[in-house]
Amino acid sequence: MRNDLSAILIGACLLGAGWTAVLAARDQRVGNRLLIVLAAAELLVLVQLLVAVIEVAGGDRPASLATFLAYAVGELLIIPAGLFWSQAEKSRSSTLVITVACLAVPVMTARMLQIWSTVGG
Amino acid sequence: MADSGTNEGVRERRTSGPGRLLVAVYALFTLAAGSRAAVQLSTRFDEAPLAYLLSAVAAVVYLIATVALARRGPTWRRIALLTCSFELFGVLTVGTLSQFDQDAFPDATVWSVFGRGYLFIPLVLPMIGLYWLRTTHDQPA
Repeated sequence: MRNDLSAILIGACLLGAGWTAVLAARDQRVGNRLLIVLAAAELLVLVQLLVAVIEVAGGDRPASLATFLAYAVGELLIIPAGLFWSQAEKSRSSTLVITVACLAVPVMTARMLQIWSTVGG
Repeated sequence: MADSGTNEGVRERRTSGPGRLLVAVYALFTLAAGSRAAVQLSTRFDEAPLAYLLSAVAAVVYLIATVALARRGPTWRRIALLTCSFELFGVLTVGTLSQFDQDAFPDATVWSVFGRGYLFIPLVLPMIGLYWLRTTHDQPA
């Protein structure tokens, strides 16, 4: 795990969460610019996973490796699943589905950082 | 009890709008409880069989509830009602027991201490679910 990378990821997700919350409050729909933010966030999740895999392969072992990997892989699903689920219906609630997804990723990332802090300990 | 088939094919209030948001949060908790249970059962089942089996039960119930909340029709509504009620029962029971019997629950499950590790969402979620099922039920019982 790299703290700077995770910080950017968390920032992007919180931006997405705030943005979608404002859209929902104004009863507006998700536009292309927001999709770019979400795509960037998803890319960062992927890079974060790859970096972690390389570090684990290099000998870094957090205390609960299985849990860590479950989080790292599970996190990949969140944003695509949220977008998929929000597509079927255009409503205020559908926009909030993306808000939920955008909040879940920082929580999972924080938990991963917590588990990763046991490396070498 | 006479649920007629008149709602078939028609958009149902229960499974649209806020109902979809509810499904999304349930799906998230299926993932959280499921991955936790998978890790616990596969790596250290012997340490706390009861707690880890409960984790697995919680995950399965979340999964069934997610599907039931997303699907239309009176049968799925009934299943959603059952699973949400079971969850509320589960989180209250495990939450209370985990306060008193530390030996049976040495390691956390999603329901431990009323779901404190998950911002108490496991406690609030079934209440919101039951409330939603009630408010969207147009036919009097």
